[in-house]
Amino acid sequence: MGEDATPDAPEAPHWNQQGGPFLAIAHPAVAGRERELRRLADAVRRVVHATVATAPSAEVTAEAAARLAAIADTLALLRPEEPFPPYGPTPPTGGPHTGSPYDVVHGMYNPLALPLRMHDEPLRMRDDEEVDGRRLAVGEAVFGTPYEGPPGLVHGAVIAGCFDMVLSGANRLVGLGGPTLRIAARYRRPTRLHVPCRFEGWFVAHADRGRLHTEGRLLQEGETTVVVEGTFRDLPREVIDRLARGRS
Amino acid sequence: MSGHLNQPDGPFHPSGHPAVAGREREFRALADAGRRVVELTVSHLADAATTDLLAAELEAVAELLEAHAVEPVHSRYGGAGTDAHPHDIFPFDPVLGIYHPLALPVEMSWEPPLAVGRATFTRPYQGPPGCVHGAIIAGVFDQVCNVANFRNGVPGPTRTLDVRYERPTLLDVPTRWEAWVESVEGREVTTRAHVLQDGAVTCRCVGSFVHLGGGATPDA
Repeated sequence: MGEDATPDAPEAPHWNQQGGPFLAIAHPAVAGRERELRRLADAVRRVVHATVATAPSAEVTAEAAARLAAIADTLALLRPEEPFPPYGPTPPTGGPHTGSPYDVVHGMYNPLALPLRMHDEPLRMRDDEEVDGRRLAVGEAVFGTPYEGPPGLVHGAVIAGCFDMVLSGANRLVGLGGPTLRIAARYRRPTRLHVPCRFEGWFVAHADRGRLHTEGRLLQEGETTVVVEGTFRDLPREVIDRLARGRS
Repeated sequence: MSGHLNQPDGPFHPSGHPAVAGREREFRALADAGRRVVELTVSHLADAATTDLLAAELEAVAELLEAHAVEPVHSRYGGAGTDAHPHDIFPFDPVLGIYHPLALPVEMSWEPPLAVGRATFTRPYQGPPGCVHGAIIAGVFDQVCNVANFRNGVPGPTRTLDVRYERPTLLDVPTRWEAWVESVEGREVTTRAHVLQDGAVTCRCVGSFVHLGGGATPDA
């Protein structure tokens, strides 16, 4: 792990991947364990990448598998009796990565999570004017071999998943949010592996029946490769927390 | 899940992928062990010293594998024809790849005219409390539609994907995904899909795809 960083600095290193900066987490299962849990999750990510990008002999593969199985056996003895809660304190503090550290799309402590670093910045018009203090949800990522779909390109499923999270982030920037009702993505041109991706999401309107309309796009080297529209249900945070207590 | 093709303890499945053939058991053991580690990483109470020790061992395993890096990386596809088993078409796919530890726990099959996926999602895949993450649902839809397209001989990249979440899709409850090709007009392929839990549809999807010609996957 690198230097400490504030969670809102867009130029900061990626804290959701190997080598990223320390970010304190208030989630009860993580607080005080950030450094070692982060090292563990990062090490798992590294193994995952090596698993799909190397060609060891059968013997070496078997040795690696046995050592991983032993690690899993150790962790299995240390499972909690009750599952960890999905969310940290209400409201979440410190930016989008701190509220749900085990999230499957952007969770710093979930090795399944995509290499998506989320932050927000002022929403600007084409002439670079800021729009009434409104904010833009931004997700940045460089996808490597584990996320390949068509040859040399990012998997469409990965892109759809990132948009779900970025649009949800846009809703949170206006104090709203809730489950996804619809995601409609239009893939205009190929999105390449190993090229920086910039996902943008912005809240559009609070429509009828408590529905939120949100839009977004994906840029590579300044060109839009995918555009998306999303519809979400607006649920107060206390309702979501009550559901969490009932279902966790 | 016992018997699940791309999860720990699943049955042996021979592969025609040149990087895997003859080494299926070892590759499979590696991916399965990786899946177990991934799942346990999000749910353990190891103290700091133990966590550091395990992380160091993981880093050592990564170094062991990284010493055998290949360039270019072997193909994500199996080089299989459109009549192949879905998991043979995409052996290293991040959604359903048998040999990809990140792959979702979805077992795909071809039950004409349907591409069918079966999965039970657990805690690592949680979105709203107690429910499967919307991102995961979108991802599975993309790939189950792809399988339907492949098996109909019209594979190609996604142009649009429109997913409607009609009711919660619960964790720990079996899901059944069904996709079918609705129409092919020139290069434009329209494919529909839905996911069921306890016999009720929870989400629907319609996608349009671009058939680039040919019927098989790129050579491995």
